[in-house]
Amino acid sequence: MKTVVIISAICLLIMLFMKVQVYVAVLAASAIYFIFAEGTNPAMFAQLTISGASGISLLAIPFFVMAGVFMNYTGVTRRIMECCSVLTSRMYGGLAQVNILLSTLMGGLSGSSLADAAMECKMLVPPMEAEGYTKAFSTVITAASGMIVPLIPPGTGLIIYACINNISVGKLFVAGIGPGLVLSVTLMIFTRFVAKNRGYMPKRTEKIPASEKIAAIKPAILPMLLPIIIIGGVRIGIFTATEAGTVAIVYSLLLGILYHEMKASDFLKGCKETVTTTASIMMIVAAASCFSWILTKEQIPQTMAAWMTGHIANKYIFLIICNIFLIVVGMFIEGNASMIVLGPLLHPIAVAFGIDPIHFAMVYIFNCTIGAFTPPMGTLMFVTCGITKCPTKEFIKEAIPFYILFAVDMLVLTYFPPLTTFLVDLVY
Amino acid sequence: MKKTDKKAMLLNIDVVIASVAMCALVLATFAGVIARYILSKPFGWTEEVQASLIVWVIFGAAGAAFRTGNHAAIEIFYDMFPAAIRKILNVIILAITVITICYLGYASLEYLKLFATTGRKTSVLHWSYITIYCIVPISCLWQIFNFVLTTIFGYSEQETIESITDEEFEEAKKKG
Amino acid sequence: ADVEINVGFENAVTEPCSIAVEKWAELVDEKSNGTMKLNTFPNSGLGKKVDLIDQMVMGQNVITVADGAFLAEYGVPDFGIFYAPFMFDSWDEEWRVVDSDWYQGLCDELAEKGRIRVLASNWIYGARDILSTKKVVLPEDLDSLKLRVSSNDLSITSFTDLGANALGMDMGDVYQALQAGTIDAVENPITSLANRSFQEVAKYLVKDEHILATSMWICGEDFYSTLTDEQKQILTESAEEAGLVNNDLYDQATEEAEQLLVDAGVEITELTDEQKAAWIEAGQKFYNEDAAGLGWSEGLYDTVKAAGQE
Ligand code: NA
Ligand code: NA
Repeated sequence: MKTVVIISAICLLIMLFMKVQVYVAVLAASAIYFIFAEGTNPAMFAQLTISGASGISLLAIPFFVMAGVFMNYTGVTRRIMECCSVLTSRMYGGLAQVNILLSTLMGGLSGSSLADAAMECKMLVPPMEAEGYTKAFSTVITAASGMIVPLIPPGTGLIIYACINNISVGKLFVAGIGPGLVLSVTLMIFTRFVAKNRGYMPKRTEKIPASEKIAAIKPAILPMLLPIIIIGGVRIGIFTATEAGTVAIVYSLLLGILYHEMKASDFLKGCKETVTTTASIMMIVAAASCFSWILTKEQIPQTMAAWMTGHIANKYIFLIICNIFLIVVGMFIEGNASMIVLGPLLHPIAVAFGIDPIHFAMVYIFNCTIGAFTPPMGTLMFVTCGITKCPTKEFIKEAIPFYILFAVDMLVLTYFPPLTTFLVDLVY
Repeated sequence: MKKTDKKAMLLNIDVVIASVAMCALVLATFAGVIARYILSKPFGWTEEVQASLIVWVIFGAAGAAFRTGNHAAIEIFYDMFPAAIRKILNVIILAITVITICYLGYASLEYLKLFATTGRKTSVLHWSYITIYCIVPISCLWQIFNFVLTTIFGYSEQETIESITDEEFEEAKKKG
Repeated sequence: ADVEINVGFENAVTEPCSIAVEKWAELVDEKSNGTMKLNTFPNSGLGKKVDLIDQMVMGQNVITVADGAFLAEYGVPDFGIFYAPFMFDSWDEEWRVVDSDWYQGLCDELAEKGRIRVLASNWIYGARDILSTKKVVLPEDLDSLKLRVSSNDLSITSFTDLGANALGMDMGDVYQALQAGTIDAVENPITSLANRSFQEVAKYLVKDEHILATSMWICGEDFYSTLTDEQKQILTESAEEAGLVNNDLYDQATEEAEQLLVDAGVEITELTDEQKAAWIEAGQKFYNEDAAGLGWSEGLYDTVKAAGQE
C-alpha cells in the first residue's frame, strides 16, 4: 500500500472533522495524491472530478431536486400535505410515515437514494417542520427512508450488480422486494415508537368524518396524480426513470399555472434553489468519485478483500466480516463504484461458501447503502444535511437509534436467506 | 433600487447561467421523450447535450452554493474547541479551501490543454470539449471569491426553504 | 516489477475477454521474468473508455480496449470502417485486412495524430445481432423500431440509414427500457446481450451479424515510446497470443449464450442467403450517401475490400 494514499486518507479525516466543506476536504485529499504520487498528472485530477460530476446515470438527481422545488412553489406539495395531514392525523408521526411510504412507492424509479432523499428533503422536510417535527428528525427520517430505494426494483444498483456478476436481472428485481418491504415496515414501526416517545402525537383522536376526508382529498387529486403518472409512465414505457424527473417538473409547472400560484419571481427563485442544491450535491459526488478512483487504482479495497477472504474458513464468519467490511467501504466509496470493484472479488467467494448468489447480492447492496448513511463519509448524510441545513452533529445524534435498527435489519437479511430467496423461488 | 440589491443582482449572474443550463437540460430531456414516444423519431444527441449541460449547471452554481450556505461540513469537533482555537482553525480552513480550489482550477486548465492539442469534439454534435469544460476553471476562481465573501465578509443570501402554509400566511397577515 | 501497466476494460469477469486479459497478464509476467506487470480492472473499474483514452494521451501507463467507431474520433476517421454495417463477409477477410500494409499505415497515423498506439487487433468482440421485442427478419422490419445503439455518430448514422430509429441510451437503462417498451430493440453480440439478461425482456433475435466486431487494445504513444524494444515486443506478442485464447473462448461462450436465449424462450432467426443479401443491400445506403460526411478517405470501401482479398 502506498504511503501517499494512507497520508491522503488521514488528511481527509482530519479535514472533515475540522469543518472543512465536505467536497473541499475530499478534493483536497485527492489533490494530495495527485501532487505527491509518482507518475500522476494534474489534468487527471480535473478529468476524474469533472467526469464524476457529469455522468448521465446521475441526471436523476438534478431532475428530482428540481421537481421537489417546483412542487413547493406551485402549491402541489401543500395540497398533498394537507390531504396527508388529515388522513394521517390519527397516527403517531403521520408525516414521517408518509415520508417512508413515498420512498417505498417511488423508490425503484429514481433508482438512487440520493435523488430520492434530495427531492424529499425539499418537499417533505419543510411541512414536517411546520407540523412540529425537529429539523434533525425530519432530515434523518428522509435519509433513512432513502435507503429503501436501492433495494426496490427497478433500481440501477440491482442492474449493475446483476451485470457484473452475471446473474439474472429479473431474479434480482424480485429478490429486492422482500428486503425493501421489511426495511420499510420496520422503519414505520420504529418511527411510530419514536414519534410516540417524542410526543409527535396524533392530532386527532376522534374518527374523522368522511365529508372532511373528501374535502381534504379533493384539492389533492391532481397533485396526487403525479406519482401515478410517473410510476405509470415508466412502467408502460413512455419515459425512462431519469426522464420521469422532467415529466414531474413539467406537470407541477402546469399545475402551478392552473392554480395561479406560480409567479415569474417564484420560477426564478425555484431555479436558484435547484441549481445551488444540485451543485452542492454533485460537487460531493464528483469529489467522492475522484477519491474512489484513487483507492481503486491503488488496489486498496481489492487488497483488503483478498486479505480478508484469505483468512476465513466459515460461511457465517465470512458473512459477518463482509457486513462490517462493506459498511466501512460504503463510508468512503459510493455504492455503485464499490460494487464494480469488490463485487467480482467477493461474489465468487460467497458462491464457493455455498451462499445463494441472489441472497449475497442483497446483503451487498444493503450494506453499501448503510455506509452512505454513516459518518465520517456518508454521502446520503451530507446531501440531506446540506439541503435542510441540519447540523451533522444533530443528524448523528438523531440517527443513533436508526443505526441500531439497520444493524438488526442487516442481521436478519444476512442470516435469514428466505427473506430474499422465497419470492424468487416462487416466481421462477 | 438599493445598493445591496444591485450587488446581489451582479453576484447572481452565476445563478442565471446555471439556471439557463438547467432549464435547457430539462427541455432537451423532455423534448427527447416527445421525439421518441410521440414522433417515434428519437434524437441521437440527447446524451451528449445532457452530459455537457450538467457540467455548466454544477460548476456554474458551485460558487453560488457558498452564498446560499448549501455546501455541507461536519461541525461536531469544531464546535467543541474554544473560540481561540476556532480562530486558528478558520485560517487553516480558509487556506485549505483556497489552495484546493486553486489547484482544481490549475488542473482543469491542464485538462483543457489536452483538448487544445487533440482538438477532440463530441461525437454527434461535434461540440468542442473546450467550450464544454471552460466553465470549470472560471468556476474555480468564482468559488474562491464567493468563499472569501461568505466566510470573511459574512455575506449570505438566505433562501426561503420553508414553504408557508395557509395558516401561517393568515397569521402573518393579521400581524400585518 | 520495473514496468507496471493498468489495463481497464468494460467486460465482466466471466466474459471471455476478461479471462483472456488475465492470460495476457500471465504471459507478460512469464516472458518478462516478472519485470513487467499488468494490473487488470474489469467492469470499467478504472473508468470509462473515453476517460482512459484521455489518460493515455496524457502519458499515463494505461491500456484499454476500443473499437473502430471509437478510434475514428481520435484523428483517423477511417478506423470507423471496422464498425460499419456489413463491411466484412467473414472473420478471415477481416484478419487479412488487419494484417495488411494499409492497416499498419492506419495505426501509424493514429500514433502520430491521436498519440494512441494499437497493440493488438486480433481479438474477436463478437458478431453483433439485434435483439428485439417485435420480430425482425428483414431490414424493412426496422422501420419505426426504436433501436438502442452505441452513442456515436457512426452507429447512429448507419442504423438510421438501415431504417431504424436509432438512439443512444446508457446500457444500464436498457433492461428497464426494453421491459417497459421505451425502446424496442438493442444490438450487441449475443454474449453481451445474455450477460445483461436482456433475453428476459426481449424475445426475438435476428442473427444479421451486421458488424463482425473486433477489439483493438490500445495504449498511449508517449508511454509506449518509454518502453524498450524488447518490452514492446513482449507486450504486443502476448496481446496477440491472448487474443487467440479469447477467440477460442468466444465460440464456446457464444454457444452458451445462445442456449441461455433459447432457454428463456427467445425466437432466434437465422438468415437465409437471400435475406442476408437484402440486409447487405440495405447497408449500402450508408456507404453511398453518408459515409463521406464522417471524414472517410476517398474510395475507402474499395481500398479495404482490396486489402481483404486473399
Ligand atoms: Na423518504
Ligand atoms: Na459513502
